[in-house]
Amino acid sequence: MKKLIIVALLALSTTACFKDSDINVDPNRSTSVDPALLFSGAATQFSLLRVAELTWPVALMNQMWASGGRWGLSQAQYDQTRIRSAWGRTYTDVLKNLNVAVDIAQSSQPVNKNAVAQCKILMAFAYAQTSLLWGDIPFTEAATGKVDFPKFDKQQDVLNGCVAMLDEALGLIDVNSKGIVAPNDLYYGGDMAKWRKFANSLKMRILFSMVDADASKGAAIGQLIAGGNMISSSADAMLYKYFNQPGRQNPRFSFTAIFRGGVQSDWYCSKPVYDLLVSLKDPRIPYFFQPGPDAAANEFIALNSVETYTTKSALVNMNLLKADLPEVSFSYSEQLLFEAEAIARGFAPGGFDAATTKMRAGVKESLVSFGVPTAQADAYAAGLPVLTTANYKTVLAQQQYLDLFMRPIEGWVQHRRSGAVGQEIPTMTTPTGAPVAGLIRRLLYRSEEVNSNPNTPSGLTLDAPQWFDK
Amino acid sequence: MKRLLLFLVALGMSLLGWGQSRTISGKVTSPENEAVPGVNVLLKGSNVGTATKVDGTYQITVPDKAGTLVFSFIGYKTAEVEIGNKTTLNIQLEADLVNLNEVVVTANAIVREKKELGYAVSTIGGSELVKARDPNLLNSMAGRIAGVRISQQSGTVGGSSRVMIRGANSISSSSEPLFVVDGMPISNSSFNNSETDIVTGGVDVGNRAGDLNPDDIETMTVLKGAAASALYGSRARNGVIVITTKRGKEGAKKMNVTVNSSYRTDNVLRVPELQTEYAQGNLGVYNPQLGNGWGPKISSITGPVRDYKGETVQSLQAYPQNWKNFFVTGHTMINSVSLDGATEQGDYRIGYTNLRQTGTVPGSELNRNTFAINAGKKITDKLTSRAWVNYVRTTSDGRPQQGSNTTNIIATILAGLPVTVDINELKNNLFAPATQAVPAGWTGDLARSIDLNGVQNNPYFVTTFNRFSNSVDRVYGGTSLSYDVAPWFNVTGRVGTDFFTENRRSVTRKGTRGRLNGQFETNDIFERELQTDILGTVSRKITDSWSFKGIVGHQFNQRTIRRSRLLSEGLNIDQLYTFANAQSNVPSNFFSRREIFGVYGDFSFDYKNYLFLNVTGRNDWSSTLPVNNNSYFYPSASVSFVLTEAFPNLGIVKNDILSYAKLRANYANVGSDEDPYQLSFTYNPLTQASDIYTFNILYPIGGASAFGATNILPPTNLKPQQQTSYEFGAELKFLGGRIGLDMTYYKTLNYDQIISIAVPQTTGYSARRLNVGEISNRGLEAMLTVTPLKTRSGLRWDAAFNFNRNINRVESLAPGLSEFITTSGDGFGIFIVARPGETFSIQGVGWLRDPQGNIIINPTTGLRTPGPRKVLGSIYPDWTLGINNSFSYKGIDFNFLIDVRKGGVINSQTVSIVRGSGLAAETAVNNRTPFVDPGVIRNADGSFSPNTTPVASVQQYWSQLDNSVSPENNVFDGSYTKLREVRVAYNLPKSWISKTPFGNISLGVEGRNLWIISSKVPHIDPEANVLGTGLIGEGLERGSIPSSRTIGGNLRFTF
Repeated sequence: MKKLIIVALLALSTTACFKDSDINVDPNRSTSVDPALLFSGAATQFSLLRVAELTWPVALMNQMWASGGRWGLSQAQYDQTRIRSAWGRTYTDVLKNLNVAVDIAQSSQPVNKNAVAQCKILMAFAYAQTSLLWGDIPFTEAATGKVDFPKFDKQQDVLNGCVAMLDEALGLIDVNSKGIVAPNDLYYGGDMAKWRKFANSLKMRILFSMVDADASKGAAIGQLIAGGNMISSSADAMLYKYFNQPGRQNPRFSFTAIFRGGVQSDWYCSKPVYDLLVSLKDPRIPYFFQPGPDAAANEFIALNSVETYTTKSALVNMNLLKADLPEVSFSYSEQLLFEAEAIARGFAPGGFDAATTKMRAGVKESLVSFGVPTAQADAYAAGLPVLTTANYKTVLAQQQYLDLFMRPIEGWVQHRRSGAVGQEIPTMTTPTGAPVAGLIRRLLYRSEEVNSNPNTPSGLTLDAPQWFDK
Repeated sequence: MKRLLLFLVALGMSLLGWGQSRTISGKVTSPENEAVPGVNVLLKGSNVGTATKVDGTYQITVPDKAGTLVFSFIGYKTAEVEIGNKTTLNIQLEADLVNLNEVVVTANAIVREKKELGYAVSTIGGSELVKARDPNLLNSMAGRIAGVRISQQSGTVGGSSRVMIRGANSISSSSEPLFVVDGMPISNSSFNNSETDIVTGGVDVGNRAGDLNPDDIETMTVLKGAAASALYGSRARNGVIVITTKRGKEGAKKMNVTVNSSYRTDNVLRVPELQTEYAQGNLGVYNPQLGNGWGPKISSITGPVRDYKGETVQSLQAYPQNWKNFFVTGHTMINSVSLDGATEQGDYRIGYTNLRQTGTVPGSELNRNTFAINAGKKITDKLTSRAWVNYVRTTSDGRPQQGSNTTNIIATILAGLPVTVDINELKNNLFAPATQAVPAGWTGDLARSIDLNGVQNNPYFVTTFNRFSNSVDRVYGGTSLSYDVAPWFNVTGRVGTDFFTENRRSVTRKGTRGRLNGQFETNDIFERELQTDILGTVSRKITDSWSFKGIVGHQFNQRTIRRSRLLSEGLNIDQLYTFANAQSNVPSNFFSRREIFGVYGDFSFDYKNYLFLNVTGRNDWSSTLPVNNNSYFYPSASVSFVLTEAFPNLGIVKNDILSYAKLRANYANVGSDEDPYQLSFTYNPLTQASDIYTFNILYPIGGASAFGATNILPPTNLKPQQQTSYEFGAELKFLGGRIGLDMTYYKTLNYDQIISIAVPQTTGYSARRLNVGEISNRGLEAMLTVTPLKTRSGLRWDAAFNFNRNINRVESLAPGLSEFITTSGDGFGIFIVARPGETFSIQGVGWLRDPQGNIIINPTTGLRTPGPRKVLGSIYPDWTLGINNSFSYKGIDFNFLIDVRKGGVINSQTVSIVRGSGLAAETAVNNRTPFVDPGVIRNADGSFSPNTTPVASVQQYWSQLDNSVSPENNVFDGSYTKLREVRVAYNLPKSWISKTPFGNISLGVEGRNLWIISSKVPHIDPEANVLGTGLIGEGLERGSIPSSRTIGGNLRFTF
């Protein structure tokens, strides 16, 4: 009897259980998607990391800004505890989603070549940025889910790979057809001509980061400039726009709004930057900084990397932390200054006169972008010394560094490549109490990666130069 | 389903009409010759039974050839009487101190004699629960049951309590037991499951088991191991708390009325001890704008100076009682009334309970109304029916936020309040902002913030305006129909459900520091569980010595969750919390449903009533597993042997030295399924992009919506999860029950766990879902009961020692994986980590140490240096001990419970803040003279020598010990000894009230969580934990509301 019941019940249950049921089909998520939707997510995440999590710790560690001990982060300790998600999110939320978007775009009929190109350009940007922060990183085996323990590619291979990826993307661009368009292309609204310009400019920036370690890149830079089709006006700049609406504000603004009730009291004026501005009689001082609440008007008191703030300490100007300021991925002033450098270093023709002209144009553009009135900007640019073999390195590097004041990621690359180890421009010294003897030259791999990927390089110190850093 | 019904109907038909019957009646009396009502009268070897009425009489219909009647009642020895040809059987019971025949409700509402069971169970009678009523039923269990650890998570009104039975069983999910009420599983969810919810300003919304009303509970039985509960299905692997609600009882009157009223007060048990000497500032220089105690001595400040309001004053004053003064006395009123009655044809009970509670945080309150109806009806001699419904409505308002990263955290505000600030002034200043002119250059708004920087909120502003409120409407209940096909064969069908809707709203007023534009979040949650059971029970005597009981059943279970959430930011009009008033609304919704079909069998063999063997088996088909691999079978076996009944002639047994001895052993295997929707590669619509700072970018942005591919690689070839366990136990009673010992040793191994195991993020994914990982628990539970004193005059002293030791060990993770972060408290600077060969531990950055373990000091600053992440301690205790003493004399019961925990650690953010901000008492010792921190310095040649550099300043020393630098100094031994409960109850003698309409009057006074007798954690209650019931991990305190000390009284009467 018992057996009969069991058998009957078993038979009953097994035949009916979920064979043709859709009960386990997820009603919350989709099994297919338009690549444009993946692209907008990847771009938003990437920009957010650049403008927030990768801004503050990097700016502080590199003395671009000062913490004044106000923020719970040990500036002089090269404290990276606040760069917790950038590594992982870059791979999982940016690169992986772009990879998936590429796969979908490639398998659609007809192949959406422009979408593939847009995704690949952003991927090259993200890989190059990640490598310039951490050094050797997973590249060839990364972000596909196919390799369990991605190997760490050498930095030169990563950067060369990014250049190749950009070349591939450039080959796919067809300005007469559509790719990912507005609103999902949050940078250029689907304008493929601008994407082409950005791809070329980005390629140049990557080549510039390599040229000190690999002299052959000079010729490549020359060719690129000869070919034109690069960012040629401020309208071409690669910007991710924020809006003065809740949840769409620039996080640099939200930080102050959330933690400090809207009163900027975290980011202070750093001495190396301030001293450089003073030495150049640079009109950007009141645009970069605002006096402390108890300081006199126009009294700017800078802090070094271990000093504690006072109510007189000058702060990073709230005008640079506005809610609707875009995240800048590539600016026109940056382009002009790179071109000046290419000419000055002989990668491109024209000699020092042409280089000086480009530099002055770039500096003017930079000043204007920070809010300096045009006339004042013109006067300052015109007053800059004519570039010569003797001075070009210093003069250009100073201007390039200041131009990147609100872009610590690029600013740090610029500083490291501005001279041999110990001879960077502007001069900086290791903060008292730093855990290593030198300036910080790389971020350390996150423990999540160290613990899960046996291929993670070990034994690197914070002041060990990366391959490019010559 | 249809086929099943047909089959059962056919089965029933074929069995109808078997057997002829006759009726036996009689009266049961006590040794004192008084009638004993409620005695179970059972035909041996069957499930035919009844109970005696209030006058001790009974009537039972038995088959013609029936043999023996068994009379059992707690407190009396079971009597077995041959029926023979008699139709009347009068019985006098013998008193029994050993309590041999306690009955226990086990799986599927099946009642068993405790001695039959081959596994450990513990029972708390409902009368225990209503003597000292806690709004959360679970708290009443603390310290009383071997193997069960209850931890109250916070002092929030209606806050949650965590239950863990025999240690953690999963690496990746919470190990809460299953709650079953009258045979139906009910939800104990809390919907505080995400880390972001909890870490960044979560509210302790309580857990749904808190809805259970102590007044409606007859018994609560804890089935600790999987063997006890294989029939409940997979969820029982963490243990089961089986609750039987009260039913109507036959009394002297047609209707019994019971009234129970309690009043309690709550006060915060412990607040940080603060220094009273130093004002706010930096390195001894006074600065009224700072929220700390690092300024000069208050006594050294001579005017004129500006105070924190910007007013010029001549001197400052310390207000050392700010914490204490902020919290208020909470009041709780619990009133319940129940009506019940029974006849032979049926029974009914209707209960209503009202709970009104105000919390220690100003303005926090909880209201709960519970209605319970339970009624049974004997339709025919063979057919009985029962229905029960419970409706609970819980509303709460003003529950405080805990955690970090918002400016609404009360405890964090208080922890940074300079001692020169008078909290009463903050309170009084709240509504009069305009009267305070803000000095030039200062930006504050004192009504809202407590500093003129305008950074930190006035705590009264938070409690008055930024309120969290919720309401829960919940119904659970069921109905059953039971048919005696034959005296030895019963078929029962049962349908039950538990569903609730919860509406939550959390508002943040415009102008709140940190959320200047205001926002509010609306959250609607619906959860439903539905279960049907059909089971057949066969009881047969096989031979004179052997009898058999078999149950087979079919079960269907469906669980549905629906949730929608709307975050509305940027309010146009202040305090108007409508969606249209928000500049941005971000909605999100979620739906999930899962189903399980199960068939099960439970077969028991009884040899001469002293040897019992039980085998069970169950097969489940789950909707959440791959269709081709969604079936899994799990068996269990247990044996129980009553030594004293097998060998009654042994000397020690005869002489009542060993009055009772039972040995038990069991083995069980439990398979289990997986969460729904984990099998496919999916794309998620994104609501936001995030980084670690929580300024999320919301979609759509610039008109663009976004999707992301899953970050979890879906599994291939997924198998069900497995748990195997065994236990051995002994239940011994000596000297006629004066000494009792119940011991269990158990071991549990969980394997093939379905876990999202971290993969290198550079793969593009954060985790891969697969079967992996083993985790084991082994441990010892011992309950020693002693009656040191028992006099003829009625004085009695009972002591119970309840000891648990559980050793939890992560046996293995995925190949190549050295650790698994179960809860990433990144915001805390610490992690709960599983590492093979170890138990769950708290990890965080430790101090750099030399090979001898000395702390390496920076020779320039004299300060410690943060080093690599390391294990800071285990989150679970080594052992716990509950000591319960009760004294009774002539109706007076006096009872106290001491709770001891040894081992495990706790990380306290509150300690970190009060120390780092120079407000803790210890930061003011020795006039803040810089001292030499004992440690070593690293010499140029790599050797170490003792440090001689004093710390640069005491301020820098304590700031360096902040959690964000290294949590090491904020991790403390979590051991404690607490006076958990004291209560006195008095039953008025019957003779006093015999002339009144009252049947029974009892009075009680109770106190709970009264005294931390010893603890190694400074400033806070060592039990605090911010992770609640949903996340793995304990021992993290951050911004927790201090726990309460409760004192109250109780009046209970019947008429």
